[in-house]
Amino acid sequence: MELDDLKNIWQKSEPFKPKREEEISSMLKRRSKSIITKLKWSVWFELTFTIIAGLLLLYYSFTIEDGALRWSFMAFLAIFMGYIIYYVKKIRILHRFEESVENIKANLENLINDLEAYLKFYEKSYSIMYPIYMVMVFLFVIIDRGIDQFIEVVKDWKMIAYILFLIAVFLTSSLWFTKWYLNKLYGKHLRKLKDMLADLQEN
Amino acid sequence: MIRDPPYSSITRFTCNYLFLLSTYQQTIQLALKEEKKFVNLINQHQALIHKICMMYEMDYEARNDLFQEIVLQLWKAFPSFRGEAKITTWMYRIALNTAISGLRKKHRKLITEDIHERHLNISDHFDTDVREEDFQRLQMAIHQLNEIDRAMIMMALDEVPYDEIAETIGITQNNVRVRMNRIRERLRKLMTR
Repeated sequence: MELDDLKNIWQKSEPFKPKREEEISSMLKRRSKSIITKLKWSVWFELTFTIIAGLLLLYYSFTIEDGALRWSFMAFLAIFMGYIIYYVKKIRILHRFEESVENIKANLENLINDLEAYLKFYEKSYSIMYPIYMVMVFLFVIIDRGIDQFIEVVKDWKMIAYILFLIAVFLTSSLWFTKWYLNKLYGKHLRKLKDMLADLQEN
Repeated sequence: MIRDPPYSSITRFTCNYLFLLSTYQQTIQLALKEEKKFVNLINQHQALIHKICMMYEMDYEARNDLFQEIVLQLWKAFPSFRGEAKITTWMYRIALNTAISGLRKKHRKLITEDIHERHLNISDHFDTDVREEDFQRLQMAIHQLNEIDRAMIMMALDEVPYDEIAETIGITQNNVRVRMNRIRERLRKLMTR
């Protein structure tokens, strides 16, 4: 079969139901179903939730008299501020994913760079967040038990070794899980994009 | 000091209001006109989008999703289209970028579905004749190519010149020629199998 025969088959076939003008027009009012759009919406939702929860926490922390409790609320607020910066940065990276009008090769290069930047940021932010969570845990223990009892407990070298072991296990497993999760979500797609680009660059 | 007559502020307010109203109406009319122009354009060239959807997605739902995604991306890019390239080249570029590299929800069906199932998936309104069978065989064969080769053969079958294919893909015309020979050979083997 020659290319002309294939063209003949291709051009004379209309194996689809044509869409009516009204259908096309209504499509313009619908929201995109792409994963990027969904990610953007979920980040916006989380950002809004964090801001509202932060404001409520701030208001509540001024109404209570207990100093220790107020300080733990303040610690939460500091974490919320960190999360706000995190979400804003995430939205900015996601905006870069807008479909390109460039050629396919250039678009692939951009997509790979943007996706890698997004994953790197995701991973980096979690490797910063986990140690902060650990510090928070210690802070709450100190608030709950009092500084004297805390110092008494950590005087024992066995206890220090045990705590360090727990920290190491927690940090290693959480960072491993983040990497595994990201790879499960986007790894296959990233590899596919890279393979396509490599195929184009081979020529 | 000269003071404005009492009715002047009311007149000024009315004038401003009418001016704003007419500007708003003009903007709405312009937007509607643009939308109509765009819908006509898609209507004229919808075969191009349908064929891309058929070549990149296997099941009906996924094709519909991709069709909508392509239309939305084209609509987003429409204001920046200045007519420097042919409209079909512009449409190919955006539609193929969306189909090839877009992050979309994965649908369940795989390439291993049998011919009968695929036949049911194509359309409810396609007459069962020789043309249909030929198209199915061609579609099956194209599905077995990789994403880039699929894009190239689709454009070639639509008689897009090699220089435009090269521009859309981002490779040289020579590379297009070499790849097209390879694709043609592969398709010939797949179709006569």
